[in-house]
Amino acid sequence: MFMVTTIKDTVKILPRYFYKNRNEAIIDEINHKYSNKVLHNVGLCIELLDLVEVSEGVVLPCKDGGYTVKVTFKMIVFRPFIGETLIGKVSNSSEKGIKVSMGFFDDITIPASQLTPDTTFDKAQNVWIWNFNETDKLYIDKNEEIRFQVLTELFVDTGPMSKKKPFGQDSQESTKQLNESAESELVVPYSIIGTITQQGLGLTSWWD
Amino acid sequence: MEVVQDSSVLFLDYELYSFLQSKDIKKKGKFNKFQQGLSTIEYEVNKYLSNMPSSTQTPEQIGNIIEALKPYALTMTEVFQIINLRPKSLIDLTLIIEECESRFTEENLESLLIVVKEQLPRDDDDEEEEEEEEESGEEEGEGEEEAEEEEEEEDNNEEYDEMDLLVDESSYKKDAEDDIDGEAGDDD
Repeated sequence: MFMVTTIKDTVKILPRYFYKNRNEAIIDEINHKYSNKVLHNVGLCIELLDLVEVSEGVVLPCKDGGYTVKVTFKMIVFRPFIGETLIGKVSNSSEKGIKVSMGFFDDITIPASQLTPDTTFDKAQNVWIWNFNETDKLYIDKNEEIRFQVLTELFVDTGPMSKKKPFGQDSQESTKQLNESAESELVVPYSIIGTITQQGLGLTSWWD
Repeated sequence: MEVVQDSSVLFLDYELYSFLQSKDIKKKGKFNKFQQGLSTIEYEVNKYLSNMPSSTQTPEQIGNIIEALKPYALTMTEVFQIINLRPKSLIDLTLIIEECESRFTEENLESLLIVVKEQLPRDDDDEEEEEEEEESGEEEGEGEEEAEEEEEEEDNNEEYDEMDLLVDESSYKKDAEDDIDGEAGDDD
């Protein structure tokens, strides 16, 4: 489920954004910084909901001429609670389990041990099959709608300290960057482990 | 950056959907690279939510169902999940309500399902006549295609304001919510 969390941060507005009115510039800056990113132990940030408090702007003695404000704001985050029922789509299957995607959030795994009992993996077709009874075999196909419950969540700190190089937005060494990003993609900052062992969970088409 | 502790409040799918809808109108055709993250997530969330029950809900419906669910003594998270997922069968309900069997009898659950069906009508239901008519009288502007953009925008903003009130109103169940939060914390 989505939640609204209050966050305090310092935002700098560069002169090139002075054409916007102050709140608009701050909102854009915050959305640029947070949207579609995971905050450690908070969740996946969706979008700024509202500004709560904005301090006076301060121009610090540095070359860029921007002003800095302290802002308190409300952020919409995606952070399902443990035990919540969610609906997603099967994005991948492997021997280890099923990957589920919600479109905006992809790092959901249902490990093999958390699948419906009597489910077997068909290596040839790369698909999990629920042997409902001897005659009926229910396939967990790709892109099928699946209902699952949140078992645990996992936050991994992927801050600059844990990597050799902090990430930069526009660097000249684009090739190096590419290599690095390929590596860093393996580290998922926020993932959800789901379960479909209970009655009523699994593909939505099973229960209709 | 600092996260203000214990400031998290639940946010209905419906609230987010109407928030995104109201923004979309303002921003149409204004894509820029600076807001790439925002555009991506807005698009994806919007796409996801438009397939969910929340896409057809109206502020009146939400208000009514919160009222109608009061006698059942559900926790706030349960109420929110019922609104978000709109359970259609008993088995759906047992997933949402904790210790369902010990807290409710089967008749209770059946009546709860009827309440949900009546208060949150959907096109894919068999019975839609009576309730739908009532709702559509007031909410014409939303149900129909965007006749006038300005009106739409106002509509949405109004809805949005109302929702703020609703959340405040339902926060009287704070105790219940705290319980759940506590549990979630343990698992961390």
